[in-house]
Amino acid sequence: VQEDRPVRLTRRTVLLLPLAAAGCRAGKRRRLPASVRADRALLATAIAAERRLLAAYDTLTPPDSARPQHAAHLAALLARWPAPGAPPSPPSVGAPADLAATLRAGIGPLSAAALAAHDGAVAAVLASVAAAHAAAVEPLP
Amino acid sequence: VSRPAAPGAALGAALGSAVRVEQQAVYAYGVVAAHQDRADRRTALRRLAEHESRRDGWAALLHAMGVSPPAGAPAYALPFAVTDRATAAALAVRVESAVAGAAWDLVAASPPGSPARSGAVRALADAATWLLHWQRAGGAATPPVALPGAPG
Repeated sequence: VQEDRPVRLTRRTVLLLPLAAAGCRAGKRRRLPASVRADRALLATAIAAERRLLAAYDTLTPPDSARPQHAAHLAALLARWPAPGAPPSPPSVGAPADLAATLRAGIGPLSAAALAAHDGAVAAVLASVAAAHAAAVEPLP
Repeated sequence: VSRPAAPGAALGAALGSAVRVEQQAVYAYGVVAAHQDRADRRTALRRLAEHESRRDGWAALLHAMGVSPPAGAPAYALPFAVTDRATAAALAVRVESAVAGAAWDLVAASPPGSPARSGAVRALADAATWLLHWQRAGGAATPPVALPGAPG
């Protein structure tokens, strides 16, 4: 039989509680599952590629700009970024000069990322971005 | 209290939906092909054959899971009257959008690296490419779909 006993909070426990809570949060950050870390790496690569494409559209301003589509891709990828934290910013490299070649070169890695992603929702977004890029530059299969 | 569906159940449901969508696509592409000139009819019939192949592929994966694939119907109701090349192209756009949606769901429901995931990623890319083809063939001024297959 358990006895109902009031919990006694001493000055020391009250002072240490916030520290313990912060320690738990930090511990959780360190223990991010391997599958989530792997998906973050896939997303980070795709997000960096879309940011570079958007920079290229801003530099080259092609007449039939697909910039809104790529902005939608970036938004969808960012929406799938698992907390905590934000995706890293890409290193500042020059914008690609050939948009079609850049899109074409990105299809394989995006498809591979979609195949490998652990989270189904992440995989679906990666596959859809790959599909949109393929539709933009590839002939009919 | 409802429980989340087991991974196998979600995959089975997504595969079943993909089979049903491909069955409808095969029927619809017969209608689309009938309203094309000779060159474009060949193109439409090629895509019809691809949908048949994909339908059979998804059905085979269901069989491997010990699940009977859904039976196809002899005919399907069309969403609107198809009377010429423009309405045929609009029907093809509708079909490829549905195929892309089924592929999206299948990508999401399938395990990483699995044959179902791999096939669904390819199916989504093919549907997006054909979707854009028929949008252009129909003279649509709408921009390409940003995220093919995405819900909503």
